[in-house]
Amino acid sequence: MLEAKNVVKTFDGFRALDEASLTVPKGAVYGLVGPNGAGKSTLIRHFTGVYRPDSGSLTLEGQPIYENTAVKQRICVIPDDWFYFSQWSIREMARLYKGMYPTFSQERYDRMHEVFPLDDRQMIRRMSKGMQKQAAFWITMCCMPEYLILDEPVDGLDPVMRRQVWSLLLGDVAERGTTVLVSSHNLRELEDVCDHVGIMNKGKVLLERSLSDLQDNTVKLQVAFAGDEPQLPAGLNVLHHEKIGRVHTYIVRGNQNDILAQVSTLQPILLEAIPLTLEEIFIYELGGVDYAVHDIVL
Amino acid sequence: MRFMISSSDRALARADFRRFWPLLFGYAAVWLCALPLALWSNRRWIYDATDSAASLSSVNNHLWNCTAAAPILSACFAVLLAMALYAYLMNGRSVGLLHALPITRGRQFAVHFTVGVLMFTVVHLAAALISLPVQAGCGAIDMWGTLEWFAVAELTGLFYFALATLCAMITGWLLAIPVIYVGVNFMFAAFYALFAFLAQAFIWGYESVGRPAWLDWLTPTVRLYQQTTTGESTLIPDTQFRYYAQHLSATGWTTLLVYTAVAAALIAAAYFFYRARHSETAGDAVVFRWLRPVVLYVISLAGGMGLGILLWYMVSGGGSMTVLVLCQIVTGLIVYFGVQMLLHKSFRVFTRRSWLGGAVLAVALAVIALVIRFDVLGFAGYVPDADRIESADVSGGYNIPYVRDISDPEGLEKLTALHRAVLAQGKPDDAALYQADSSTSADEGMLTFSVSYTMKDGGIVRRFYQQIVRRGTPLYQAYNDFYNDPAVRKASSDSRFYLAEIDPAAIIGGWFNNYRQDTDSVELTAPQARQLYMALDRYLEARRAEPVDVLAPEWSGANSGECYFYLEFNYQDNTSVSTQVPGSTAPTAANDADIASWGIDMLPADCTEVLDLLVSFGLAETADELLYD
Repeated sequence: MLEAKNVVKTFDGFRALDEASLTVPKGAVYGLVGPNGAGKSTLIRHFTGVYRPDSGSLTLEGQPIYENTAVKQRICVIPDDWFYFSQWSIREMARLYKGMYPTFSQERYDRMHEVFPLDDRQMIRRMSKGMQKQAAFWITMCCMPEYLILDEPVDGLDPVMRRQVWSLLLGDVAERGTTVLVSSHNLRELEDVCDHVGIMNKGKVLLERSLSDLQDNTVKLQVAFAGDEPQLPAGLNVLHHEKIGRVHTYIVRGNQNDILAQVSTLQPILLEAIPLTLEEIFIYELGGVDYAVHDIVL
Repeated sequence: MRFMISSSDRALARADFRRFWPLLFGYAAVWLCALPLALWSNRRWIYDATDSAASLSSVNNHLWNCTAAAPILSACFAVLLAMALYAYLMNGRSVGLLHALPITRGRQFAVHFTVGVLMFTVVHLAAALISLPVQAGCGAIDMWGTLEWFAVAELTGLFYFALATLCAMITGWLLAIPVIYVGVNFMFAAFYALFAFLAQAFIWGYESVGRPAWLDWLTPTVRLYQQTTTGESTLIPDTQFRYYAQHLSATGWTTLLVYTAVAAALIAAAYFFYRARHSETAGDAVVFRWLRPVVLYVISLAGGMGLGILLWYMVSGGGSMTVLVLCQIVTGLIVYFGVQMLLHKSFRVFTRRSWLGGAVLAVALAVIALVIRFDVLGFAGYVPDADRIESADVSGGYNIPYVRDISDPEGLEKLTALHRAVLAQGKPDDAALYQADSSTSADEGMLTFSVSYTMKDGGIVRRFYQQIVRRGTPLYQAYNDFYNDPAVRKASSDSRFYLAEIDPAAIIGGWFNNYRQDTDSVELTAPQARQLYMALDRYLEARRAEPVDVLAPEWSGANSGECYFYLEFNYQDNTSVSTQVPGSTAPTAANDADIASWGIDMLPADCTEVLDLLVSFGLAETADELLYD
């Protein structure tokens, strides 16, 4: 389990993390989402031991991460701007990682040559951005980490390679129980792979739950009434309402069956519960903290 | 910190070597060219089949030259090495990779530093080992000289690399490393030079003492270079001729060991700084918040003082103190806000708080200038007590000849009395001084007086004055008392009283040249030269006893030197100079090495005993032939 407790980090007076707390259960694929500048990358750099918090703690299974070699050997990271030595090839970078991670698998490295169509003797700086990302995955996956931390991992990859990479990652999760913490703006993609979600804004983690809990706790209703819209039953926690023609769309927080039972008492001519996408959850949850919907780049 | 080598350490060290081998090869090429290759290419001049001592002396000379070059090369290579090895700390992406790897910061520091030390050690070792067979090919192996070169190169390398590493630890800019490195090396010398310049300009009589010892210690490059270029000559034993070898002096070794100890402290400081620095400070000019005001004010003060003097000369050509203070404040503020911009990475630094800091700087610059101008530290009126003086040197042109090493208490008392008398009379104005200097009166003259006291505590006090001397004044009295002191007279280099101290028995010959006759010099036999020397000694001794009036026309040089010949004495010098600057020609044979000579001319016409001897030796018909016509 990866855990951050009340982490505070300030850069020249700017509070980038403001008592952020987050728990990534073991074996989970945890999606960390949030608007630009929410503090996702800063939190990730804390989890990888690059940054030292001003206060608060970051632990892996109860052990502090910062300056803890034994713990860091179990964590691998692919940051959004993966660094490589400018004169080096994939093979040379892999050799460095091999020396650093006792779990590095040369056999897997050789096998993955088939997955990634790259020349591992070519200098990385001569590769395209997407190819460099593939190189990062190739090397990192060979370290066989128990915990994998990814910051915007598939940026720059083509759709086929994206699918390939996700499939590799999920294969590791399934076979080896790898825990993945992934930060991304691509909510549609995260929705397909994550089982837990944390939403960050302004240096805080606003909420974190399993995706199924989130989806069970918020309902999207499409309702049409014979006449004018009646008064909705008191106690319904309506987060959002819009009307197109005679069809009303409600986003309501609560148990789906209870909500359907309450609304059906109004005798609508159409009543349908539609599953919420992660994108919608993100938008409506952040709406509560004055986050303007139109600012979100999806 | 555990010292067991892990696979992570090895991986990181390998990465360093793989990335920076060109630097290693470059440094190796320099030393291999300078040491074994240069030795080999000069072997035809070095190799002497008949005398191995000659070869040994030449090999030693080559090694000594390399020893002298070692601190400079080490200083250059160390900063390049530190820039290469710690460059990753200056970039957010690279520091992100290195600090995310499962190896602690402490280990990373240890690995990078060890790699750096290994890099120059390998080069030094290779150059030393390869040079040994080359030396053998040149006819002699100087094992001690080789070890000495290795020690100097290695220890200075360690010191400079530790210093450069510390510089790298406090900045997040790659190019700031060499700037800080040079700054730290010469900061104290620069401040001292600025202070001395202002003091010399505004304090009457103040004269810079050059480089005091404490300043040399705080300016490592100067100290190390000085100590490795000033060695001791030792005679190579059991040889037909006298050959010398240069070696590091005891002071040189002490200097090396002291800086090695300092290097250990610097390494420890750098280690703690590395652990304390935050990864996110990559790109900051100074990574520690607490250090920023120190850097800001030190640079602003130095820049303000230095550039202010420059502007002062450009604006007013020197002179007015007010203009100087204004110039220093203007340049100080320019530097101050410039540094602020670098520290904050922004042009928006003109905040109220910054202006307050600027005001503090302006006040500090003004206070420094005023402290010097009004001599708050009391330099102008200071005359050391005679009993605290170890020795003194005095000079001042024709009217106060160079007197070295005055150390007898009476002489020192008279000197300090003269010094006090000069001060008591007050600073003369330039017009009066000019008038006194050009005066032909026997009652007035100008005294140019430069004194350097070496204090018993090792300190040096130097002063320089130009003062008007008038007959009957306390200064006139003090001047006469000082100059007529027998010990002072004997120590004086005034040719009318000075005789080189030579043991007559050591005189092996000499030369005589009568300027009135257009003939070659005539060689003197040893007995002739000895007789002449002893006659000279008696004559000058008698002259020294005669009192001198410092304002007398005869004394002031108008009538000096009526004889018109030159006498030279050659003698066996048993007090051979023990130090030699490397690069100078090594002595080749004993006959030349130990023979010294000293000559005299411009003798007064009343040196009758000397003149009579010259006539008796047949070098002139009459004494008149030896006088100026």
